Amino acid sequence: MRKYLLIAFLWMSMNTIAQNNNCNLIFAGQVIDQHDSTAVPFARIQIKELNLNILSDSTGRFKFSGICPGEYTIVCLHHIGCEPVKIKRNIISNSYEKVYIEFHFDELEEVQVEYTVFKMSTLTVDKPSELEKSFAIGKTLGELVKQLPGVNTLNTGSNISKPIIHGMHSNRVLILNNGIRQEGQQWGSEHAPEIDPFLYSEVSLIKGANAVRYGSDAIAGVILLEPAKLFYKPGLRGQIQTTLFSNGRQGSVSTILEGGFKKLSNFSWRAQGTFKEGGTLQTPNYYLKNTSIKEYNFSLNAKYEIKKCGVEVFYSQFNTDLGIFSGSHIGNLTDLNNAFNASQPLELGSFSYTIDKPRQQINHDLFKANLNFNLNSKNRLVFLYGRQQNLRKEYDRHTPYNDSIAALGLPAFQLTLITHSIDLKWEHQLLKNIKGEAGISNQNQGNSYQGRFFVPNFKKNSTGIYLLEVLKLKSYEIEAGFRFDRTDLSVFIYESKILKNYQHQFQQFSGSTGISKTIGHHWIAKLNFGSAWRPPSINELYSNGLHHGAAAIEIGDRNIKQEVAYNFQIGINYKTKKWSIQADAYHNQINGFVYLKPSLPPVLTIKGAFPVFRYEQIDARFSGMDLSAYFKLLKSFTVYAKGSFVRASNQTNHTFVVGIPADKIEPGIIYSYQFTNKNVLNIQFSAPMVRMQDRVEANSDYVAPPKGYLLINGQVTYSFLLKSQKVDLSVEVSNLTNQVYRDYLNRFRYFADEVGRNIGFKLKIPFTI
Amino acid sequence: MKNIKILVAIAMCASVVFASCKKDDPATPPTPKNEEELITTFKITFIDPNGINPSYAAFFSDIDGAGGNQPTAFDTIRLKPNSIYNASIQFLNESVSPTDTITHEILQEAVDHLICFNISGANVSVQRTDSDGVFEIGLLSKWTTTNTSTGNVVISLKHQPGIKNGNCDLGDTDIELNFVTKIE
Repeated sequence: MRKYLLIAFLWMSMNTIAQNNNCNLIFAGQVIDQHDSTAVPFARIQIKELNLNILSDSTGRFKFSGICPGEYTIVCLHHIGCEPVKIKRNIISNSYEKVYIEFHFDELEEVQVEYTVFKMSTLTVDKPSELEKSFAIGKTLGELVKQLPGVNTLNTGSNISKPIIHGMHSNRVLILNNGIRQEGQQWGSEHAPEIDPFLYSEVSLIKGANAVRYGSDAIAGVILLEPAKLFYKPGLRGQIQTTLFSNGRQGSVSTILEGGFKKLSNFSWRAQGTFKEGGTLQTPNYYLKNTSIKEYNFSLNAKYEIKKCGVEVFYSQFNTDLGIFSGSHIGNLTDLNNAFNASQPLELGSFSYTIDKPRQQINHDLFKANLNFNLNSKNRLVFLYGRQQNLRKEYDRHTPYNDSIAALGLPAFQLTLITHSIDLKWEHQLLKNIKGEAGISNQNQGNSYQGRFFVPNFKKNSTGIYLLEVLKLKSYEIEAGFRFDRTDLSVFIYESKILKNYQHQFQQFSGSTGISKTIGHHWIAKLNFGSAWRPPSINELYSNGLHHGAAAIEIGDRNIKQEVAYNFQIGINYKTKKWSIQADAYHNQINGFVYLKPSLPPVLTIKGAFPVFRYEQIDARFSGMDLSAYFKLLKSFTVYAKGSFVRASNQTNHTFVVGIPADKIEPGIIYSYQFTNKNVLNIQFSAPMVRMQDRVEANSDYVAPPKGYLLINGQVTYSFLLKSQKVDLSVEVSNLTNQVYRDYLNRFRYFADEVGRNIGFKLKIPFTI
Repeated sequence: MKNIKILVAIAMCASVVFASCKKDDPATPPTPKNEEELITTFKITFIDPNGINPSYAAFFSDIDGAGGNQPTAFDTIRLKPNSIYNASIQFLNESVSPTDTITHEILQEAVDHLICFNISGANVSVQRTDSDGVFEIGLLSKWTTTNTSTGNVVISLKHQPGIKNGNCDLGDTDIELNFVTKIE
């Protein structure tokens, strides 16, 4: 949406020069809810002096044309009872304005029926703010969502980062990439999501178990990723973004080019590409050998839309090649102990862009086709097809001894996962106050490996059917839905050199219900109960062997059943002109929670004895709180604090669950100064504080959790007009004090410190041709 | 009525969809290929150069690699007291046929490899007798025993590409076997 706006703005400013001094100026813009930055449809916009009145459309946009240059008062009267917003503008050229209004929840009554966009209002949807987005430009998806309360990242070094929501990750977090469930080898904690964050201007997070709409795996939450909407304007336009980071001397360039045609006004297209390269990363005291990365991604998107129906195709490719810090590739337990006991890695490197072994090479292709039919004003059908191909190659540090095998240069193992998915949705409004969605989805998947065995080949077929309805009353919104899923898994495995086939079947009902209530002018309370489930992943069922890097033998259990979560969540939202507070508390009961349990005796191999971990199912409980509070101290100063706290326990054995994020609080301060309407300066400093994780069982880990730490991060962003294009420039610093620390959620904490100070420069230039 | 029409439309679309998706079935049936190289067997042979004591060989053998079935052999090293033995080490991959002798490759890449002996409790001393030109390798060694005793010798193969300096604390451990050793 924001890119949409930006482009709208660009296009309009393009025409500025030619059209001065006549009465055909355009004043356009969008009405935005100050509270959650969503568009406000059907708000009344008035130019007082001209007595012109219009309503914003369903996406909040409005447009006055035929305006003479002059000074005007623009008034946004949202609804009766809403404080009107007045803006004075001297309109001398075509201009664009974002109008921020304070949206009062109890005045929805009049408009509710006209909402054509189906909103999930009983669930809290979190979106990173503009400043949070700006801080994450050029970094991983994990780094972006990490800024939202309740989210942490599970890192393997600095280049591999997986989001953790409410203490859970991997197969318990669902990522919807462009409406398609992202399917990679997600079970692996060192397998990061194959996402190019430059492509997605809309990132939102839904925390809590909610399988009804999204299907299995959404046990901890869902991350929704959407590129900016395509914009039907003739011409060619785009933007260039570039970033440079001091640590690892990493640079990236990302370009978007998009356009439409005069003669084909219902058609629009976009092409996007990113290139990123970084060298050896540095902790405050030493280089982390072999931590270079190279990434190139591109995507193509086209859409044709008329009133009754629309068709869209999308293709994206993600390619990464990255070095795994060599100090972490552990041959056996002796090496592991040597690495633990060393104060710094035994092998230190120097700066280089070369990627050596061990390394990972990943390619992810996504094709999507989307058809929608607007049957009438109350019914819409959406058909979605997706094909994904995920190719993961992992290279060991060690090439094979046998020269003829080594000469082939093959990865130690290679996994190919192909997924086809089909979704059919019917969005409907049955009664004046009831809206809903019904759907059916099918997913067909095949996985095959080459090289070292870790998980067997399999075919998987999953089908789900669901219904979800929302009832809107004066100040209440009530939601209820249910879903049924079935997954068939067929596994092909060599046992004593004979190919065997095993069948598994999992099926599960899930449901959700929620209520949202607006209280007075400034409060919303949300209460939600939802369930979600996931079938066991292939490694939980069949892995049987050495997990390199973890120096452990991991053994699956073929009798593992599905994992079912019941999540109860309560959220309070308070907003005024000065305050913005959000607090969510949750309690997630998980039956059949799959985890790796240390087991005896150790297994004897030619590399020595290895500890053994077996996948087991227990009952677990995850509860916690996420908080964020912003207070506008002065006109240009805002202070804030964000925090998240998770408590997890294994109820079967009455122990702590391992790998749970430590308590985290991040206070910060933002200074904003508006020189003119378009020149804005923001300065932000924050100090994330992480406690030591002391909720671990004694001797349950190789090394005790690291101490807590405090970091200082900061950024300065400046937006200005350059030849009527809004240019964004920012300078950012992470770990300003060059603090030496280790994080409990980094798998490399055993071997090395976290990276040191990192200064970044970022530039975004839009253009029209 | 309207809703019924819609349901019909959904059903039609769904049937088309499910009929067409059969063709898109991912590669069937998957055929796993296993190209992994294993070192399954370790063999150390002791020969008395004076021909007084009989030769002796100790094995470690785990044909299916780490995990899976238990090792099929893990012998005790038994040597006579107050004797000298010339020991030679062999690494084999017996999971393929014919058996692949990995020792040749280790010898070829001798500059990247070192075999280490860590003795505890047994009255024996070990000296490597071969060289890569600069540093010792350890495929060949001289074992000198004294009094009767029982202890352990940990034999390990270190992979030290580009970093070999004669020390055992560098690099990856490819092999590590803790042999019970009896001087009797």
